[in-house]
Amino acid sequence: MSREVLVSIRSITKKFSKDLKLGAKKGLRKTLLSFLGLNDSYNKNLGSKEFCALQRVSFDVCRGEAVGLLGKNGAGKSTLLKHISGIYLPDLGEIEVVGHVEGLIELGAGFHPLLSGRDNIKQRCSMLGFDGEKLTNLMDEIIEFSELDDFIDMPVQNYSSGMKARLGFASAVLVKPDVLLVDEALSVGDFSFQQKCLAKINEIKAECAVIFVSHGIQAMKMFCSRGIVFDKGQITFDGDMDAAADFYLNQKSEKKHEKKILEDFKKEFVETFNSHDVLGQQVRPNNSLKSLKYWWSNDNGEKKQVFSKDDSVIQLNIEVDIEDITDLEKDVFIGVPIWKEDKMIYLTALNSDRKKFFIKTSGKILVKLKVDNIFNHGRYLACIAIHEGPQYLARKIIEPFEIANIDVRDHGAIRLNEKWEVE
Amino acid sequence: MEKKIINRVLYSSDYRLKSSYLNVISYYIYVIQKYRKFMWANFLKHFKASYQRSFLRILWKIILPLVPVSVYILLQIIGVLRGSSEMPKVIYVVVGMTFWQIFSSSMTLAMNAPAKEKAMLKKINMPFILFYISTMGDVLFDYFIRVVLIWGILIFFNINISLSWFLLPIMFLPLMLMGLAFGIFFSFFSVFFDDIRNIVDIGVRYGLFASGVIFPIPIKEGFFGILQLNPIYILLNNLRHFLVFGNMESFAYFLSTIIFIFLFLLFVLKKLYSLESRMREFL
Repeated sequence: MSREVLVSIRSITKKFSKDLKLGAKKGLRKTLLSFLGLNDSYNKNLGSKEFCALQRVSFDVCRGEAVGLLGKNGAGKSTLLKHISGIYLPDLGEIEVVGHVEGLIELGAGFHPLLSGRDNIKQRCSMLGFDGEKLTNLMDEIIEFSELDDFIDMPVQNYSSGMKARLGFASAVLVKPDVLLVDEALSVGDFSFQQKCLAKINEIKAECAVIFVSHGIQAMKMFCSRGIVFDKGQITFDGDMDAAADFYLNQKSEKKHEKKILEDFKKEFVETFNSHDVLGQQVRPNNSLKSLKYWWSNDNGEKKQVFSKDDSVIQLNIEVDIEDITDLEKDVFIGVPIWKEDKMIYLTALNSDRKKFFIKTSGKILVKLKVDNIFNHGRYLACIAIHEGPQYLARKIIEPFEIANIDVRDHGAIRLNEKWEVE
Repeated sequence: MEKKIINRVLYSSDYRLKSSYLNVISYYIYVIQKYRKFMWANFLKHFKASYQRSFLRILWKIILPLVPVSVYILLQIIGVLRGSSEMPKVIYVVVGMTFWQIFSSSMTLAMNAPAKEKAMLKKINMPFILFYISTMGDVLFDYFIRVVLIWGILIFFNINISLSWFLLPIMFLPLMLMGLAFGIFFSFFSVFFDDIRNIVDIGVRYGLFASGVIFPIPIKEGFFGILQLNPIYILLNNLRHFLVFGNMESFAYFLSTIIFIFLFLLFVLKKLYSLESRMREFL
């Protein structure tokens, strides 16, 4: 691997204000001081409404290296990318960047909504100095890669988020940048395009430096050789990608406030995921369901939300109280879809499908859903849906569960018992 | 194999503060040259977008300036506008308004350019100057439409053709550069507080009457005497006089104002060079 350093970050620190007005006042003060030829000295102490987005961050990225940045929301990963692309300047320290930087920092950033995809590509490429035959060839390549042939002359405002992602990715990657910054930009595209993008990044990474930010650890493990873990603006780990993922996941699960983390996960999941996708149709107004209680446990009945490899079964206990089942016209049954944090649905446990039972008695009953613990490391969210035929009596996103202490070197979504035979 | 030119940039909090005027000017010449197509595309993007949902599209650019001119002609016919025997009032007002428009539009558009382009500036590291300059395209297009109108009015009022008529297409330059310089200057502050925009807006409204656009500044002493030093008034009055009579009222004042504009623009560009990243944080 070539050791040409393309990005060198040397002890950078950046403070932001939580209060917009206070921040603006400080910015204005600095501007006025600069008009007087004076420099506002950096105050190492944090003000009451200030926070450090980055603290003494240092690392180098070489050509041919793909680095994954890990950390929970607000850890400083995206702010760092903005520093590398020169959008923000550090308060302290310095960043040296060699060559052309392309950033897939936000979907559709830099595209004019009223212009067509073709005009937007043309504008973007001409910005980078492409013209004549080179521009025509590059545009053809971008259109072909993005697979938007039929829509390329349509205004970008009518594009779906996936189409914008295709256009953004193709126009950023095919101009052959020296440094490529990718910040969750691929999470919206469809699966096959995501794979195509990852393959393209894999193809070009030998020629450039890639810095990748994503919550999809599996994708990062696929093509990043190195991982850097951030926490509150500081680097807490820098090393091999598998070890970094291991460190990051264990760091999270070691924390005392697991319940709070899972609550935050649930909130974030529901906010970022289209609620219609999660919840489907609206609940039919019906007062038949008197109460609904639920809790997670292992197969011994021990209540828990964080499971380990030793828990062979994950059990969801659902206590339902239906006032008078005979009032209901259709069969009542329960469905429990389970999603992982990458928003992929893992299971749609629907008891009517398996013809095991329908709820036929009124009053309080306890239903137990037992799932073999074949899940890999991560957090999972479930929803309890009480169906009456195709409609719902109730539907509720419930507390998530977490699978911890699994060997993170196990790639893939689930752990199955595999057997190898040699003949 | 084609040789690739590799740029090396070192970002730090003060990496632009100590640059000399020469470095700043060479940088701006470089980026303007490099991104000229982008600026053109950016101008076209906004220009096309502004008429995207219009049936008459670009015709509005011709119709709208005609409206005030027809009003001024009407006011002169019914005797409300009374000019001097030397210069018909319609010419005085139309030329004055055209020059004023150049200054005020340049200033307002430049001041608002960072906020207008914030979606791009927050996410892509592009020099602010490109956006300030590309907004000037709109001002120029407007001006050239008005130039044709002014020629028509000069012919209509039997003004003798002189060399100055043919210089009209470049007379916008000092006023536009001054508007651009003030616009960039105010944008340093307007990114922090919107109040600046409103204050400038009030200033523009008063400035119209303090710059001899519609009415001449009558008193040359006391407070109103100070107005004679108003750089916009100096430029506007001299250019108008030059257009109609072929000479300037005060060339010395005109030249001093041009030098002032040049120095102020240099100062503002140097400040922009060092402040743009801070402005970006507050967009």
